[in-house]
Amino acid sequence: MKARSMLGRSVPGTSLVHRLDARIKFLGAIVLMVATLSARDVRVLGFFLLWTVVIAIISQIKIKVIMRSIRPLLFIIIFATLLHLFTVEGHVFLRLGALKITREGLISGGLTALRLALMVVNTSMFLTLTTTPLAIADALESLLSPLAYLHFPVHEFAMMMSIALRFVPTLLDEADKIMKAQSSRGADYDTGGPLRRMRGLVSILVPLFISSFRRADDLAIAMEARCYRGGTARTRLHASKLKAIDIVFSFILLGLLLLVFVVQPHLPLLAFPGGLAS
Amino acid sequence: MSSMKMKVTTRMMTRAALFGVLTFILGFIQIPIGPVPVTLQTLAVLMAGLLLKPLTACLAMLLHMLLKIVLWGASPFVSPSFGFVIAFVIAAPFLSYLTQNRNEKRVSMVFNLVIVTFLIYLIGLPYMVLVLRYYMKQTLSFVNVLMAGMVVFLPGDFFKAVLAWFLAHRLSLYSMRLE
Repeated sequence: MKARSMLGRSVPGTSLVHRLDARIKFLGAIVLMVATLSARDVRVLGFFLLWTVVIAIISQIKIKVIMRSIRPLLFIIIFATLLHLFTVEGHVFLRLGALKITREGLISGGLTALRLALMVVNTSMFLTLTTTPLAIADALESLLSPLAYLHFPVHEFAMMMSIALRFVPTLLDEADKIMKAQSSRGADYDTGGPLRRMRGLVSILVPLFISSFRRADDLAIAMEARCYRGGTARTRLHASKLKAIDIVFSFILLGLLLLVFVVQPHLPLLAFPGGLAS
Repeated sequence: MSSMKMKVTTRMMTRAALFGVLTFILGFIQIPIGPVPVTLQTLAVLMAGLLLKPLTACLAMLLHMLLKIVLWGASPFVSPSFGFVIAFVIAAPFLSYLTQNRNEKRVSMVFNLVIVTFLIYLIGLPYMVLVLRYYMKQTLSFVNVLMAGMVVFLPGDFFKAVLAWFLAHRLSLYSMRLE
């Protein structure tokens, strides 16, 4: 199982970005995602590049770790860039047999790659790299709490989120253990026809589902034995309050949104082609 | 959401949580069926529909979606397959609702599984088109989308539907849908 690296990737630290309120960081990640993906102008993208470098320096995360966060999207970034490179019409720049690369294609491909890379790096620096999954789950509970007026079980949902986060590594280990145990007994799920493979998979899935059900029911009994009664009048050990720096950051993020949606359409056009590449 | 207070018991919570995690984990297990490698993710969706109550199944799939966002940040949103993750939230409770009455005939069971499989594509494919359009700046033909986003996966879907049906039978002790 290669899944180990797929779990939370947060890097502990005490930097300014680490200490920001998780709610602000969650909203901030959404703002950054929308803003970087809607940035069309080279100058605006350049500004976001600068912003990314500044945040990277403030957050004190190693460049290697930041670069690793691009990996899940690397394939999509390369795919999108190549598509732009070969499909955009314009001044022919280079010919490779039937394929031709145009100057316009080069520019818009490069901008697309930059936009996607900035989006991933920004959101992961702001959220997943500097915030623990549990803190994000707590932030979600707080942000979703207005839904409680619509009778959506917000507290229960946040509790489930915490349980789920706690059980991801456990069930991964469990699945791994079952696969090894059944392989050692001769189960085979990689070779043979569909029917043979299915039999092999059943020998893994049946114990996996049964043990999950058993864990869930045991946990429910344990919680109720400790008088857990859902969200009615529960208090927190660490109640989070917004600090001055959180308010400051909210305004900065609001500024970024204004830059993309109010300032960008009014920027004077650039003289060279592709200056406003779409 | 409905206006009446939803009663969520502790057992529902833990079951939904564990099923959300199972869906997440089965997404990592690839099986070589059909022209492209498929994961067992939709198997977990079908199992949630067959073994859980509608509300629990819905909560489990919502959790699965949020688990992806909480662990991976924003990158799931721009992946072409995120539409399917959204589709699960509707598909699993729908299957659960369809199969609630346990004395089911075989024909209707096949029918239910087929409907839900196509429901997943009905929601997942438009999202995929939207994301791809953002990357490519050109419209894809309807046939291309169907081929790349659905037809290549159908052999795997057939395999998983049969597997889910069989598993639900084997696990019928747990599928009383008390919670």
